[in-house]
Amino acid sequence: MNGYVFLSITLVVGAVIVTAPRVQPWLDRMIKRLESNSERMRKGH
Amino acid sequence: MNIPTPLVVVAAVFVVIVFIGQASHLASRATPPVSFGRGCIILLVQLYTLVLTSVLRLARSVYAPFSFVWVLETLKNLFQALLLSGAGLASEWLPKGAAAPAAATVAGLTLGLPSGWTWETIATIAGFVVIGVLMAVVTKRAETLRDAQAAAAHAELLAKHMDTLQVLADIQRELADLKVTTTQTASDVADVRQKV
Repeated sequence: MNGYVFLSITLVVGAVIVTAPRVQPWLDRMIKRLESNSERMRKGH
Repeated sequence: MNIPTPLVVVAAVFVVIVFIGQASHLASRATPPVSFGRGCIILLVQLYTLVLTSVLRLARSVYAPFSFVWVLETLKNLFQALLLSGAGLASEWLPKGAAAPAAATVAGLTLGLPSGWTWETIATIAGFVVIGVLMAVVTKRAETLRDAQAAAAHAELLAKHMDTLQVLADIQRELADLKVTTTQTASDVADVRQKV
């Protein structure tokens, strides 16, 4: 059981580390875009 | 879980009232003011944005630590420690001596894992292999990040240096102007004195 838990944790941590450089900028862009869209809509444009 | 029906009805009415109130508020706040229907759409978009940005921010907070060099370095050290301890553990599982050479173990694996090996042993070894790869990835990423930070710091220093040079040039020009003015004033004074 411990071996499987160990492998799962390493795979999850690895996935996060490997995808971080691509996903982080994308997340930042998405958050900014969503917020600016919402703000524009609230102002009635 | 059994939620009393009146409570559900009261909660639903409350939500509907809040929704209508907020939608009409947003509709009147817009410039120029828009219809109530449009206010409902604005409110729905805002709620959707709120939920989605919250999820994205949560993901961002999971990813955030991996942009710090010290976190990456610590991870690398942890992985290294794990690998070293893992190597010790693995040597316990592996068959020892001439009685069980590596070839026999490999043959045993293909025949359905006898000789004390289980799928869990393989999962653990695979975990250590993944850790080894991760160590390389983390080291590379830490180096890239450190290079980028050093380049940024260098550029900032250079910009500051250029600013200082600009200020020095300005001072030099002002000093030269002052010198010209002083010489002019001295010659004017000499002229006046001669006339007197």
